[in-house]
Amino acid sequence: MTPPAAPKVETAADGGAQLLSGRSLWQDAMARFRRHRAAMASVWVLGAITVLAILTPELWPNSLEDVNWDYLESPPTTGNYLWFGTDANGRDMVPRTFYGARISLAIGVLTTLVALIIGVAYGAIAGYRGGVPGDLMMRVVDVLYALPALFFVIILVTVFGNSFLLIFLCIGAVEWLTLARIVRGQTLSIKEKEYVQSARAAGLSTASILLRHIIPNVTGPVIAYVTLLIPINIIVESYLSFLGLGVQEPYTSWGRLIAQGANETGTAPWLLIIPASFLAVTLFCFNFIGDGLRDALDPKDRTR
Amino acid sequence: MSAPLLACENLHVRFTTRASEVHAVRGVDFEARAGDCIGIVGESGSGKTQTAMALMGLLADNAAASGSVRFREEEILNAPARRLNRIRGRRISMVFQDPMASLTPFLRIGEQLCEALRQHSGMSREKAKARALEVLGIVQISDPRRRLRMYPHQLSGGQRQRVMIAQALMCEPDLLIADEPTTALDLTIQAQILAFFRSLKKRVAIVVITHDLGVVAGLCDKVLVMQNGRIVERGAIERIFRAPRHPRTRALLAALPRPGRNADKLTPDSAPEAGAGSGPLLRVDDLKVHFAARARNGLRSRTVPLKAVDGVSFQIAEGETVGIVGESGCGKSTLARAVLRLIGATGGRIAWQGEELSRLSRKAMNERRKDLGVVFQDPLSSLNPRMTIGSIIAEPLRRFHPEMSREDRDAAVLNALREVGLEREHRNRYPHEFSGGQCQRVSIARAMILKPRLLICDEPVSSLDLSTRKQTIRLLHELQNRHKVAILFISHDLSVVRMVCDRVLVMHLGRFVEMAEGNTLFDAPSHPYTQALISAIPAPGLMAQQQAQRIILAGELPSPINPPSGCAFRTRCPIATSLCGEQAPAFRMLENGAQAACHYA
Repeated sequence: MTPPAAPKVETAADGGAQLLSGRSLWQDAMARFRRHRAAMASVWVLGAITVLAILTPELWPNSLEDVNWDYLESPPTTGNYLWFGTDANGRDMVPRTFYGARISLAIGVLTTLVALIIGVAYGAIAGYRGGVPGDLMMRVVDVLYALPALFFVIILVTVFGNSFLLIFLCIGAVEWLTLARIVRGQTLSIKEKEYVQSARAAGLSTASILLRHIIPNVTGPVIAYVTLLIPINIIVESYLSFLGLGVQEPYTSWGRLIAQGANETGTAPWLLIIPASFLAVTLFCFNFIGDGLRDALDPKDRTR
Repeated sequence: MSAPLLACENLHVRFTTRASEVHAVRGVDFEARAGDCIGIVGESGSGKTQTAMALMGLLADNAAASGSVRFREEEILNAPARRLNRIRGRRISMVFQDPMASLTPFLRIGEQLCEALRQHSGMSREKAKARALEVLGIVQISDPRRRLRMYPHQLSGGQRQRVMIAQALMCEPDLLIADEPTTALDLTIQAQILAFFRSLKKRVAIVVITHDLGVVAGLCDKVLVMQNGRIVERGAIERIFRAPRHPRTRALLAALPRPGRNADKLTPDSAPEAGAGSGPLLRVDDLKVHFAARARNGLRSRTVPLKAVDGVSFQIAEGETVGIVGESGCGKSTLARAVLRLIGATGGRIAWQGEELSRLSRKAMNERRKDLGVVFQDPLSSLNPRMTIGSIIAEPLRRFHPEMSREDRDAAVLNALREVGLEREHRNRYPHEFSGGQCQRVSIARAMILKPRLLICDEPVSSLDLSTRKQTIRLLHELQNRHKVAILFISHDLSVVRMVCDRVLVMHLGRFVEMAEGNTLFDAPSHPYTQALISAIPAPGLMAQQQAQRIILAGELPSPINPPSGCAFRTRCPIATSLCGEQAPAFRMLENGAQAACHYA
């Protein structure tokens, strides 16, 4: 019997592939992510904003609530370190903006994480299980959809009291619904793929089929949606604060600052422009990071 | 001599990607005259499809074509779209490979057919419709008036391919380019379409592009053999088959199934010791898999059983190779999945080494999967695109030997890679970097890594090029000899099954119609369906006249929701009588040792 001809690989993969040990998708994804310039720059910018958010309110000469009587509604000035100006009450906008960053980033990231975990798990299980149980799970989602989300959050907050942790859970608990639908739809088509059949035929447990074969293959649409969800959640928090259910004075968030600034655009535009620019830069960063992650997690992408 | 219809001179196609430049077509020239039928033959990646795309001006954005293509003396290469559109679809038409992907799913057949015609001639709706009916008649589609109102998904693969050809013929073109027109089809349907192409030769010049020399035999007059973007041999078809000059041509010819009975048979190194006292490895008794299908009946819909597998029995002994053959839709893949308990059986028993599989709990069943390997048809979709080849192959090891150290597992993966003829560096790459044949090797490595006792191969080579097909089958055979694994080999192509199988079961509409030893089946097929399947294997030695004598089954597999009464094959059977409609034939033993379900076998 003739031995099979040695096959050739047509595409030359990136160099250094002759490692002795096997690589995993995550190791490869990290390497690919590092090559994504916009995403890496975004990581640095976001990191800087995070560090400033943590340190500035503590170390800044003016505190969040002190009133500067000589500088009521003053535009940005170097005097008395009022670099971002002051609001109508004469409070320094620098610590306020960065304190707002703390709240908004925490809310944006953590609520999205809550939504991501619930939504992906729920959607993947409903899609993979299918049949009557899967349909029932999705009908539950439909019922929750029908409730006005804000109303739902308000009920939760009034019943359980106004705590920061609760806001994460409330917003997350409402925002996962769309994710569950997206993931379920993708799972329905992926579970018919032959590699999932192979995994079942290899005796893999449902959990490892979901974790290794289904969830990695839904990352594309999920990341696209998640990068949209972060800004949505930051805005939702500002509604809640406006209604008196979120952060309370003297503490603040970007959402609140923007809402307040928007009322005074004619007289004190810096009150809107500064927090809004920070929010915009942050959202850009999340979008680029989302792009980078999506490309990094897709081995087929060879454009970068 | 008159000017050629199409003259292609020194055609080059280059693709620029970020990483490199790929020179796909390197100086192709040929001519097609009215009445010609030319075959362009080569393996995937030889540049044959890109040649056709360049002729039609359909190259991708990152491609650049140079050289000259003249249609009736008019230069059309790199011509502006407006000028091309006067010729494209009207004077030159193209039939694409995948009939599902080439029809717009949202448009009715009638609208798709009339679209190009109305665009080119501004014909009235009624006239265009009349022409569509006429053309559907030419492509011999049954009940054309009703088809006009149907959507593509309501048609079978063969019917869709006919509609594609009809679309190409709407404007009465001078030249028809067909890219792998039959590759996605069953052999029986391929035989129908090829017979139809032969009848078409009188109307229009044809260029057929294929990887299968068997397809051009008896159809084309001239053949061009391509390799690496160049034409390496050209000549009249008889000469190519009689005295091929280039090694590539010889390789393509060698890849063809040969008509002689044992020509391709791979003999096992040692005869399998058929169940030495231990009983069969796998025993399937009266297995039934029914799905609930919804049948529309006016406004109401009701559920009717779709009998995908309807009472089949067989057994496999240790180390034996059993083939199951039938057209797509006959239930053979469902049967494989039911044996693996990937889908639930409606009735019957599956015994694995005497133990009833369907009674096992899911957990217990999962433990048995160690001994059951499986290889599926589509090489790329069988592999998780987000896992490296190494972790794909290692997965069963992680599942069944979690105690194994990382080093041992790596060593086992490397060993498996070597066994299937892949390099150790391949382990860190992803499935999309490999060709179909290589992906299928990875699938085989994964299925074999636990040294299973039974390997179920569901059309393992049907989507591969002919030469890769042979290599892959050799590999399976080699592994079988080394590891003494039994194989259940499922295919629609008898020529493939013949190479490896000791025993062959022929399946039609959920039931077995014949079971025989491999040689008996090919020498003396008893059932008319088996005879037709054997006759559908493209036979390169036969020329046009002999081709015409082959048995070509009329129509396609009947719907399993509403099967014909009596013998399910009678509607397509050349020897059916009234008895066949009244009484279903029993599966019975024949004199030559085969078993068949036919009143006249």
